[in-house]
Amino acid sequence: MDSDPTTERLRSLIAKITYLTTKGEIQWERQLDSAHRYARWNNNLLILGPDVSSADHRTPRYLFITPFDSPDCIEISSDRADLGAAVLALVGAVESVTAQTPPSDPFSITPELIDRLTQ
Amino acid sequence: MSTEFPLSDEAQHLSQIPMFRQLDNVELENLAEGVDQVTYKAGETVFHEHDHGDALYVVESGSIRIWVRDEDTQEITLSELKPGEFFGELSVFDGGERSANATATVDTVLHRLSREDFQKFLVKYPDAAVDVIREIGARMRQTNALVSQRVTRNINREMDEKMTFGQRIADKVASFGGSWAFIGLYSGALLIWMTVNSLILSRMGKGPDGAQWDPYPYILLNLMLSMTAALQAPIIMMSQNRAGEKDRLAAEQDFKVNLKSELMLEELIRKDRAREAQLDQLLRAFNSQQDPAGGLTRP
Repeated sequence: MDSDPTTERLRSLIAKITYLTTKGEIQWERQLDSAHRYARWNNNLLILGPDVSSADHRTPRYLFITPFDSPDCIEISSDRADLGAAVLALVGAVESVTAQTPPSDPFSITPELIDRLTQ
Repeated sequence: MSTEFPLSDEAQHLSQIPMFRQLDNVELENLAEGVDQVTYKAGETVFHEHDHGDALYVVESGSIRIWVRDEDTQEITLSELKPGEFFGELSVFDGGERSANATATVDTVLHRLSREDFQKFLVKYPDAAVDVIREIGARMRQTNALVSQRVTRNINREMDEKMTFGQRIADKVASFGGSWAFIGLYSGALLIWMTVNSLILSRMGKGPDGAQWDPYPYILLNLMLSMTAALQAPIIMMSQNRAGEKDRLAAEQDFKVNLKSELMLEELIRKDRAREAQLDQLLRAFNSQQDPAGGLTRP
């Protein structure tokens, strides 16, 4: 199937992100009770969503990429015929590398925070 | 009217630019006399926003980025101009300040046409003025599109654009079914139905065999009420599902915006601390070379 150059560039971008993820060069983070995964890469923010379990195959996944120094953004959904498989491959890679990573809890009450507030 | 003599280099360059293609050789030579060729290295600024605008530029080779800073001091690129395209026309028209910044993205050669010469040119060649106006219109549309993209996604509008006819009907039914108007109309219809059957048809509306249309306890009315409720429930649920989907998308959008803002703030604070540390270091180094009484302190 022929595809346009933009699709090809997006496909290679997703493949690159997947490769860097499996090599551990992109550190994906997750928060407690959230299915989102996010990472910083080359001054860009990467978000994998939505906030539904990856076991839910009915809801399409998306990869959202936005540079920190620009309002531009790209969102690629897994229900796209041309790039869906690449997005799902990335989702699989990210799920496997973050499975053992403890989630961060932005609302946790830590001793460091209490120390800082009571100083 | 065209003449046969060879064109100068400057006129030759101008003849390749769409805006000047209608000019004959003499006119191109005349125009070339008022045009300066200027060169910019990659990253050099042609003009800044708010500079006084005194000339129009046409790209001969290279590329020019037109950009502004938004409220968050982020650079927003309005357009990337390629050879043959022009910029700086707004200030030339109104004599006001530059409305954007122009920076060469690669080594670039420009033709610079002064305000007076450009205005004379447009008066003499109205067709070129139409081209310029058309280009300005296209740029305004492009800028509007960019601005609307810059604003956080409007989930309501996106959902509305994707709504099917059935979903629109479901929303209307749910909206009307949950209003005082519906309760009033429904109660009125029930009252009329019961009143007509109990007071009028019970006396005058009986058939030859003595049968009456839906007498007390109004079994037909009950059947119709049950049917209405049975149909209304799934329609309202359809509408609620759609509302739930809209909420989910809005929450997703909020998450993206909040996360980006949070991480950007973290980065800014980190940079700010690093700069403070550098500043402290510089002040210490400076003070160590000064008389202690006359040393600088941080505000």
